[in-house]
This record gives sequence, C-alpha cells and structure tokens, in this order.
Amino acid sequence: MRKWLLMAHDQADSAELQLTHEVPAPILGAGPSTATLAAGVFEDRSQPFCLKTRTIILLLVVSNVLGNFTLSRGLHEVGRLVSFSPWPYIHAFLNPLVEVGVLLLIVWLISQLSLLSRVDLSYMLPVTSVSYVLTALMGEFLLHERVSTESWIGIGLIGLGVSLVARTVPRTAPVLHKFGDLPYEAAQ
Amino acid sequence: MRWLLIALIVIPGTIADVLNTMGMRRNGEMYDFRPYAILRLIASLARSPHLAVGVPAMAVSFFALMALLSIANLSFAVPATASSYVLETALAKYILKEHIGWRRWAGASLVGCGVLLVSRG
Repeated sequence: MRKWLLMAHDQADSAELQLTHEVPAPILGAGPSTATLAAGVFEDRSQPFCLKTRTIILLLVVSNVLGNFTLSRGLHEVGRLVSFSPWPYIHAFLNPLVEVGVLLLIVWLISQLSLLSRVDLSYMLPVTSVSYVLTALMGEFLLHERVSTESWIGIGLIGLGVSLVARTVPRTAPVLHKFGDLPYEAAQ
Repeated sequence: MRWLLIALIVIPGTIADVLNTMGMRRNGEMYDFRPYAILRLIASLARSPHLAVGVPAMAVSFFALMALLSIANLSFAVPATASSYVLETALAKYILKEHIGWRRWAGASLVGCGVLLVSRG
C-alpha cells in the first residue's frame, strides 16, 4: 500500500511540478492529501485490483481536478470565451495558467485512454467521479469556500456509488489485441 | 446559445467515450508507460478510426464546456453532465456489450445524483 502511494506520488509530482511557478503554495499541498483520499476509496477492498490501474485512476483524477482548476482560473483572467473564430482561443493560450491547465488535461487524456484500454467504460465513469468530491473538498479546505449540507450529501452519494462500482470486476468485455500488435495494420 | 453549448457538451462527449472505449479495446491493454509507449499511444490515435473521431469529439465537448463556463454558472451545466452517467452506462451495455449488474446500475445512479447535489451546493 505504502509502496504504491509513493509511486503514485512520484507520478503525480511530475505532473504537478509544472505548477510551481504559477500557483500559490497551498495548491501544491493538494498532492499528498488527494493521494491519501483516493487511496482511502479503495483501501478496504481485497478484490484483485491491479496496482497500476489504481495509479492510473489516481493520476486521472488528480490531473482532471487540477487541470480544470488552473484552466478555469486562467480563463477567468482571459475573460469571455464564446466565439466561432479561433482568435480568442489562441489569445487564451498565451495565459500561463491556461497553458498549465492544458498540459494537465493532456495528462488526463492519456491516462483516460490507457485506463479505457484496461477497464469497462461503465466502470471508469463512476469510479473517476471522485474528481467531483476532490473539487468540493479543495474548495472547502484550500479556498475556504463553505461546502453546503447539500454538497456533503452529494459527496456521500458519490462515495457510496463509487464503492459499489469498485466492487465489480473492472473488465467484462473482451480485449481483442495486445497493445503493440498494431491491429489496424495487421488487418489490412 | 447556452442550450447549443449543452448539446455540444453532451452529444460529442458521449460519442467520444463510446468510440474511445472501442478504439482502446482494439488497441489492447496498455501496461507500459515509458515515454516511448506513450508516443506509440499517441501515434495509434491516427491509426485507429475510432480514436481519430473519438478524441476530437472529446475536445469539442471539452471546449464547449469551457465556453459555457465562461458565460454561465456551473450549476446550469451540471444536470446534463450528471444524467450522462446513467445514459452512458446504458450505452455501454447495449453498444459496448459490457456486463452491467445491479452494482453498476446503482453506482451510476448514485453518482449521478451525487454530482447533481455537489455542484448545486
């Protein structure tokens, strides 16, 4: 348990190092605490749940939460962004917070794709909804926003839902190929 | 405009999840996370027709969410997102042929309700 937490830290840190220049210190404190929380979600389970899959879920949730956070902060600085022309979007990319957010969301994309290669969609979606809980807790403890009773009930429901889904077998659909077999070229 | 954005979040987002799952399932399970393997994953985006449509659809959905959040409150966007948990579980059952027992149905419904409550509070 401790071993994979450390490994997860290593990976999460590499994603968060990029934040050092732009984001005030308290945000960086999110690393260890989010890791502990995500660990707590699965801690009591004895079902076979591959270590690496946990790490990917952790990476996915952390990059999603921090990515959305930095991106929405950055876009708030940029201002209104509804346009069919590409220029406002290109302008938005010049903001450093937006850039960090986009980098984190690339980590999110890659971890989501690699997770989907190993578990069902109907397993991944509920399990990764822990990100809503993290966002709410981050608001409460780092930004000192009040979390309402309604939100706490919501957090409870998400926790319950996640623990139910986490008790199912992660993959029920068959895998067609091993990664690296280049199925699309082989098929031709 | 708001409702157009909601549609642009939900429809491409759902399509993206289904196609990405199909694409990654065909790609095979990924266990290697060295930089080279990640580059290979990115390269497979171009090779796989599912991912070639799914990933851009995901981007459309994401940019629509960003645009919506810049003009509307989060609580306006979230009911649609929350309902997608149950919708996508149904699609996973009928299109992706995943085995969905009572735990997954109950879990997806609870999470959907939970997301709704968290984002309103």
